[in-house]
Amino acid sequence: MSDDIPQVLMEVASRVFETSAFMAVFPPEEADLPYDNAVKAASISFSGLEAGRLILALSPEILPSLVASMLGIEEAEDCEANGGEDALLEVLNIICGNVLTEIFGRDPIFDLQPPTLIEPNDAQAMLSSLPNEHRVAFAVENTRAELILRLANRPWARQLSNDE
Amino acid sequence: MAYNILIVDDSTTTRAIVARTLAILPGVEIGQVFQASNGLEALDLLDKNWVDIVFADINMPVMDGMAMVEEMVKRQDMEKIPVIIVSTEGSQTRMEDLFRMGVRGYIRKPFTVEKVGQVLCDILGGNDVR
Repeated sequence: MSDDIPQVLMEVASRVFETSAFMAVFPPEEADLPYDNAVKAASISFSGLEAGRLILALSPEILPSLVASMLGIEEAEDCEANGGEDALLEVLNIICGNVLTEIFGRDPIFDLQPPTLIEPNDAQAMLSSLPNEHRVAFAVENTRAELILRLANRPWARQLSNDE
Repeated sequence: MAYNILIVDDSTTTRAIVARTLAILPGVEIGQVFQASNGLEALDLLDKNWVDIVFADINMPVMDGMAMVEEMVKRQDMEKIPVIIVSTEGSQTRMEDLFRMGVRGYIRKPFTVEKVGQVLCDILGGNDVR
């Protein structure tokens, strides 16, 4: 069980990308990268001992490699047709389950909702508006990625919910 | 002996990963691989096909993995089919509930080929998995 949430986010992201997709993750200080042209983001809500959301944002450029690595296939030119978005949602789902266990331990039961994609325009706006608390940036291979955890009982999270 | 497998997960990516993992697992002959995106679809497939082992997620829309297992244990033709949970679920409490319901194995995502082999070996008694 850990209170150092950014550290947990980083460790779980590394484990999930490396185990699921054989992709190296580098720490925030090595991830001073902009998103290339756009950002692909997804969100998963959970409830239980605490309620909240976890958001994963990636550069779309990484999706073909992510799909290919996860499925053990040649890199797909058209990754949308080959499940790029589904791979993003599944990576987020796996990260969320593991993050909750690392933070809250193995006793509580959490219910995870199916992860959903965030519209590209909304994703850009959301990323610029979210606070830095419980947020880590990292590099997957050579592209930027971020994880943001919002816990519903935190005052800033309630404020954001009211604003939405 | 070739084992017919049913993979139940709302993620097509996870279904593909589990299928690929089983295909490369040494010492296990896989027969037909069926796929379902929720528990209800899985029960329908189990009604119509011979399945030896079920790999199922917990959190799924329409019918989740726990409801699917509950339904399977009520039915004589399905109650003895081993179910292996493949999930991000980390709660010991929920896993104990699932094992009490009759689930035979648990693989936590992200998983390795070795972990899948080990769980299958436990269930098949080491007869077919090297």
